[in-house]
Amino acid sequence: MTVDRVSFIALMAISIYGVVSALLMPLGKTQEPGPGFFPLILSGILFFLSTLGIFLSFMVKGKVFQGKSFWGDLRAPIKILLSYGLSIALFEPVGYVFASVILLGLLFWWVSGTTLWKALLFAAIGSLGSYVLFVNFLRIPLPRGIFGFF
Amino acid sequence: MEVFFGIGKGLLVAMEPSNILFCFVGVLLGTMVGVLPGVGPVAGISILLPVTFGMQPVSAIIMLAGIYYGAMYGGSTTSILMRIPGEAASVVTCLDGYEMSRKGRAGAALFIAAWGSFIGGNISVLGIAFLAPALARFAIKFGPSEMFTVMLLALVLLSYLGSGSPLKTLSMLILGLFLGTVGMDTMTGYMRMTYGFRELADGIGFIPVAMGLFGISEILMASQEKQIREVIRPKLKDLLPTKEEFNRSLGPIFRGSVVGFLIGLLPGAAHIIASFTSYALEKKLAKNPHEFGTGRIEGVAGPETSNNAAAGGAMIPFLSLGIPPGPAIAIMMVALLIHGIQPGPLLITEQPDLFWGVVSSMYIGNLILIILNVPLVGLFVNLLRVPFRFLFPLILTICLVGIYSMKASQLDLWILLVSGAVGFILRRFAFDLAPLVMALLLGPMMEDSFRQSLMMSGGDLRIFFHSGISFVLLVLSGLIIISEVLHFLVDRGRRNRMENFNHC
Repeated sequence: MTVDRVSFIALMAISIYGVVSALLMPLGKTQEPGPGFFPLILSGILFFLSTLGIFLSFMVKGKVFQGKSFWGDLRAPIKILLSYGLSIALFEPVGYVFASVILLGLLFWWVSGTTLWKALLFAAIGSLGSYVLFVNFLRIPLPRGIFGFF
Repeated sequence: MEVFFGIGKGLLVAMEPSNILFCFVGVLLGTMVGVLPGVGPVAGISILLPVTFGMQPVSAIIMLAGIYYGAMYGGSTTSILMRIPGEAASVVTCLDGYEMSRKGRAGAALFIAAWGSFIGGNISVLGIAFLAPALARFAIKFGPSEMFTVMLLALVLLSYLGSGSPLKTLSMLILGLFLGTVGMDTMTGYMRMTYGFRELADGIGFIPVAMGLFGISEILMASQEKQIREVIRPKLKDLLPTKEEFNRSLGPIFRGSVVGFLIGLLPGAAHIIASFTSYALEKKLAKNPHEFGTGRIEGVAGPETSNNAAAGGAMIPFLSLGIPPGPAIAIMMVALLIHGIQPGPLLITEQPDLFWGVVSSMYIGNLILIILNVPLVGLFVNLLRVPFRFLFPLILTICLVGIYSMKASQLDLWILLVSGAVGFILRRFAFDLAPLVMALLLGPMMEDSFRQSLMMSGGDLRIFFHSGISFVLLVLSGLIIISEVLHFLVDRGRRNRMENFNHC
């Protein structure tokens, strides 16, 4: 399977979702277009383009989609996304300071390879420093979380 | 006369101590953003956008504009000293800039890059002052059908000038327009594809998407690289170019200013195209074109002047039509909208202080930049010593705070994360991200104009051909699409023939 074919199949799936979603909305008439009118036109065009893309991918040889050689070393990006996801999930429940300590600590230790103690120290300094900068100087309201402070 | 009066009035606004301070902060941060590989102007502006919420609109735009053109300056530093472009527009500067550094002329290359950027920036500001008001007066006559066709042309041009496959670029454009339909329908109040999330009533946030697609995905890409490069450190005494180098750079600086300003008016990656065009032009005009790439000062002066002039030119469609030509300017437009100001043809008459203040601040900003960039280049080079593995956690934290501070919405943070992951995948699949982001911003406005036009004409699509302006714009859009398709087919045919030939 070529890279182009994979991408256009994904786009076709999105376009089908778009067509179905638009058909569930009131379409209106050309004199008075409804909320589904524009999304339906766009999904239709996207469907046409993705069909064309899939068709062309059979006509010409393209780069072949191969796991690791295509994606490169995925360990660091996945670790970053997981750490980021965890801190987003905790952002409101535990507050900014704790969520950012977790984020920075994980990134310094897990992704950057710093020792655990150093990572925690950097994370604490970064988190508290940024809290002072954002909340005290820039007056940006940040969540305090269940602990009620910071 | 009106222009000079406006500039004078704008200078009074820009010279206010607080505005000078914000201009200084903007260009300083912009230079840093430009110097650091992996943080482009789009990511830089979107990260710092929330900081501007508490400011006066004039100060906010002065600072954001400073980041934008400051990044163009800063981008040259890493190109010349490390052969790593800090910003995409500085890619071409690597060719001769780095070779000059290897020959011990790094200081001269940096000086000429800063000097050219200063001249290019100032010439483009003059262009804005004269052209933008005239264009705005013309655009006041635009109705919904004209607005729709202008936006259509902007997006078609964007896809035409984009990198990579036109089919992929067009698909991104349509996908962006489709994503722009999520949220409450402005005409009927119907909730579209919100799935019970009240936060989505205003649509998918432009800033989380832009920051995710450009900022987070850039960090994810950079985290896969393990290369450490040597930095050439110029000495202060070597900073001034020789008389011969200075004279040789005059022509490219003048030509780069004109080319950059004109290309800057086009949507898309104009500053990148401008720098490449200027390089190609200088090579074409050179007596010994084969010497390009071996450390010619013209190869630094032209492109660096051109990308800064393009940054100025790009402000014209934004300030006079309310149509941002690229993602960085689109974020500035969002900043204005957040402050309750609608950019467009009426901006100059309704908000003269803002328009002329921003334009005049660019003179001050360019002056600050040359003062910052020439003697303090060593300081910025030191930034490159901070390893990326220590830098990116802090950037990610700032992104988190920036997005949350906009609407205090956790959903926006998830949109940021998902956009980052999607951006990473799309980059791997060689998709151009700019059309998606631009279409997401322009989509709701385009839909409104389209539906209003149909309602006005009783469903008759010929309304788009009735007015001379929209007719011309539609024909232009059609011609561009046809030429794009033809170019694509010819190119594919040529590649197929080459492949068959190779198999033989």
